[in-house]
Amino acid sequence: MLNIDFIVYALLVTANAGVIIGLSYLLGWPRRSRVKNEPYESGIAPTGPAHVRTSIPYYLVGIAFILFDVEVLFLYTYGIVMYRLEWDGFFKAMLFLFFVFSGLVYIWLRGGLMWRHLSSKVSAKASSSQS
Amino acid sequence: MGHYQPLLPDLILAMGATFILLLGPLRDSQNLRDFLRWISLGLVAATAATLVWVNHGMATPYPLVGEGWLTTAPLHTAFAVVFLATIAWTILASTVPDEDAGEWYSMLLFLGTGMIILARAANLAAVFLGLEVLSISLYILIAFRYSKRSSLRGGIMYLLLAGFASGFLLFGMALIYAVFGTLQIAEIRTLALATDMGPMAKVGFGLLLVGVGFKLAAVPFHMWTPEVYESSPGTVTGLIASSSKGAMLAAFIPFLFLLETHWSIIWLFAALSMVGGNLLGLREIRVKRILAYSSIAHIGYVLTGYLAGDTLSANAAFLPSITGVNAVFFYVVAYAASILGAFAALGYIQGERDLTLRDLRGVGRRNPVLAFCLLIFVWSLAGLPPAVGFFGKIYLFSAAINAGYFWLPLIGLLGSAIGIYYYLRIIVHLFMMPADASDPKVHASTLQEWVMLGSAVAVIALGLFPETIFSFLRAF
Repeated sequence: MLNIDFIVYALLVTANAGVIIGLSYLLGWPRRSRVKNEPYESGIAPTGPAHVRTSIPYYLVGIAFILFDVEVLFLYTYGIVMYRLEWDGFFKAMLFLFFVFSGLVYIWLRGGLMWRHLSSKVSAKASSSQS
Repeated sequence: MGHYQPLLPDLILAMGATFILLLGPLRDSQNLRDFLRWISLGLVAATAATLVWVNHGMATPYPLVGEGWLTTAPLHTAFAVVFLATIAWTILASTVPDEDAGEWYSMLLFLGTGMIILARAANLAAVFLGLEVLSISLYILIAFRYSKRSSLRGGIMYLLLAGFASGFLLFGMALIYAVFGTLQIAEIRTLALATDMGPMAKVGFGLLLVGVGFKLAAVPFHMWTPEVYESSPGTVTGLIASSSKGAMLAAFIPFLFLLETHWSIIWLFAALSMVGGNLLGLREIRVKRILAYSSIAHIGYVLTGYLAGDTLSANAAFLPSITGVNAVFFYVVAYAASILGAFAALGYIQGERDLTLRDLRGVGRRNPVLAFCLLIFVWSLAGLPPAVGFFGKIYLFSAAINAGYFWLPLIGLLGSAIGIYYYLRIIVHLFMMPADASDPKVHASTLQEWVMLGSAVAVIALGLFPETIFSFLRAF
């Protein structure tokens, strides 16, 4: 399995990488400027700070959306073979949908879809403690 | 509908957990917690009863049900019943505020669902499914006190590392499937034993072992243990240490054919865990971390039993009627009985920040019942007679000796001898050190004290009558 070609090739790759990094380390010298320190050198100039605050309701709805979006993938695969699986498959798909739907009901009951009161509710819950 | 019957226990538990999750926010009454506690307890009992009813009398090895996903082998059913018992114990021993009760009990039940799927998995996909259900519930349970910084840190740490380890496991499974063309573990076994394993299959099984090793927290995949154990609620720590690892151990039993090819890796896991866990625990002063390191060592002992395999050797010299796998079952039961109680008791004692040995001082005088129970649990973990942990170790090591291993039981015995030092330190601080000026704060309700006491009595009783566990196993 480990033949000589592979070893030679591995050595060449390592040596090549080492030579390139070593040469650029020896020949070049660090030069820092404002433009060079930008995240995308010679790209579009960044505007504004990177630490943007996202509101918690938006974040929660976004997470919930992704969750249900991913669940739809399973339904899509089921849809392709729906007739072949007959009633047995239908029953199982309904079982799956039951669990997904319970998740939606849970988010609803917990107030995860209430845009306005969400932030105050979350902070009230976070302040309570337990053992 | 006939082929749904074997899946009935899992369905009952998962659906019950969903209903409890929805009941939490729906009912806004004062005693919601007690209400949900008894409902969940009933659900666990119903699941265990159904499990026994569905699988009773199927004695042939590794028969497959539920379209080949689960096995009804008696050993695996017994494992699943034991894990359900640990869940029931945790439901009784834990407390949560009323507004979080729905999430707490429902996540415990989902954890149980994952465990019973994983413990009875006959298919690589079932292994992964069970593991994920188990892990996702654990992520939430670990970070349950999310207003605390340390709790969140522990939860995120476990989420990242366990996700990473699941990746290894999944990639290993993909390679195994690519080589053998089947997900059924029994078929993989036949194919793997029939032919000489190629490099791809070897790498696949190796990656599988990485995932398993992480879940078991065997050295060198043990790094997450102290931090996660420290930051999660006491009862959850007990579950991570006992039945979540136990479920992985049960799931690994069908893979025992790997002893033919990969035994040296498992040997190394066991030896390193026994040495590493016990040495790391020596200098630690935070009590939960001491028990975390000790749990690493205990996994080493269990893996020693694994190496003995599931067959009786012909020239057994020592306790010849116990196979390695049966010894593993005994040890999982014994260890669960001891570690659940120990971590729950530590959860009731409040420290300044992390619970240190110094915080234990004076607990013996302040709350003698709890301290006495903790003494018995730690005694059993140290493997001293007459507690059940002593017999667990005897069975494991004698099975290993019968299978022809010499160094591993020796390392295990030396490791246990080292370990006794830090176990005794806990006891010394509990009873023999003068209390600090500030009184230790112990929060335990009457129910919790009774649960503790019952558990301590069970640890001693099982130690006095160790045959009980084997007759329990034979009843399936």
